[in-house]
Amino acid sequence: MCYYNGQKVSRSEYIRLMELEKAVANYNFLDKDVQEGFAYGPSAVLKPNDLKSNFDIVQMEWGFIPSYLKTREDVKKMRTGYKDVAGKYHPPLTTLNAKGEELLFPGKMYRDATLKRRCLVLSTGFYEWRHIFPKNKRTGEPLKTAVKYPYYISLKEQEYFYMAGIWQPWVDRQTGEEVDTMAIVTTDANYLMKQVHNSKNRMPTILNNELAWEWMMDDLTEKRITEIATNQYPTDQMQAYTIDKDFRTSVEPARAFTYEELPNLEVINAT
Amino acid sequence: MLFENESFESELEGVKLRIEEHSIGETIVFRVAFSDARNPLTVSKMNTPSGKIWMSIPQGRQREAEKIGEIITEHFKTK
Repeated sequence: MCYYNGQKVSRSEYIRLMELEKAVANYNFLDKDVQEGFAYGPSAVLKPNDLKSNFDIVQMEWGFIPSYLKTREDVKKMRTGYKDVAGKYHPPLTTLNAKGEELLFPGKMYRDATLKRRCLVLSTGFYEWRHIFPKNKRTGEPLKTAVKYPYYISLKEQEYFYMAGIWQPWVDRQTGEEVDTMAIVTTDANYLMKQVHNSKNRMPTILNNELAWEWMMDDLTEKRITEIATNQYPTDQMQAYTIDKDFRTSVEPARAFTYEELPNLEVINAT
Repeated sequence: MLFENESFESELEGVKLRIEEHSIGETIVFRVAFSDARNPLTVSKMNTPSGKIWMSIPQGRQREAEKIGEIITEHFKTK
C-alpha cells in the first residue's frame, strides 16, 4: 500500500495518480477567472503547417469564436444569451458543433474557416445520451419525460480516430489574448447513432485516414468539402455500449454498465 | 449537444467556484477556479481500499478536494 494525499491507495493506483499528476502538470487548462464564465475546454487538434506538407498537434479551445466578436465579454454573451439595451433577449448561440451540410451556406459564420482552415479533432471515443420514454402503467402511453442513458461510442479496433473540424484564430481586442478556436463538424446520424443519439439524430463527421488527409491538406472544391463534411461513418465499424450514469465522476468513465430495463440497440452491424 | 464537457458554477463557503470538466487520457478531472486569490485546483475521483475518494492532483489540497468533490457529485446527481 502507498499513500496519496494521506489516503491509502494500492500500488497500481498510486502509479496511476503519479502519471496523472504529470499529465495534469503538462496540460493546458486555459485557466480563466470565475467571473469570466469561460466554459468550453481545450481539445487536441491536428492542423496543417503553413506549407501543408505536414501537420502539428496543438490544443484549441472547443467552441468556435467568430472574428466579429471583440472581447471575452462578447463571447460570453453569445454563449449564454443576453438582453440588449432595448431589452430584447438574444438566446445563446452554441458553436461547439457545425452542421456539415450548412458549412458553406452564403453568410454562414463557418464559411471562411471551412474554405481556408480545416483541421482534425483527435478522439478515442465520445459519450452520448439515449432517451427512452417509459410507458404510463395505466394508459400504456409514453410519458412526456424521457429517462436518459449514457453510452460510450468508439470505433472498432481503432484506439483513436479523427473528426472533421474547422478552426478560427481569435484575438481579444481588449486584453490581447490570442487563441485558436474550433468547432467539430457533424452529420446525420447513421443507423447506430440514430438509436443512441435519438433526441437529435446527429453524429460527428468521423473520417478514415484517407478522407482525414484530404480534408486537412487538399485544395478542395465546395462540392467535395460538403461531401466529406457529411460523410457518415459506417455503423458496422462503430461500437456503443452503456456506461454508468455517474460516469463523469467515475475513475473509469468508459467502463461498461448494464441497465436491465433498457432495450438493446437493434442489430448494429447493419449499415 | 454532442459530447460536450460540462462546466458549471457553484459556491463554497462564500467563494464562487467555476468547475470545468476535462478529459486527460482516459481520466476525467475537474478544474476548479475560485473567485478569491486561490490558485486553481484539479480534482479527480480515485479508488482507495475504503472506496472512491476525491483527490487533489497534485497532492496537498485534500480537504478542499473532498469538499468540492461533494459539490460535483451533487451537481451530477441532480442534473
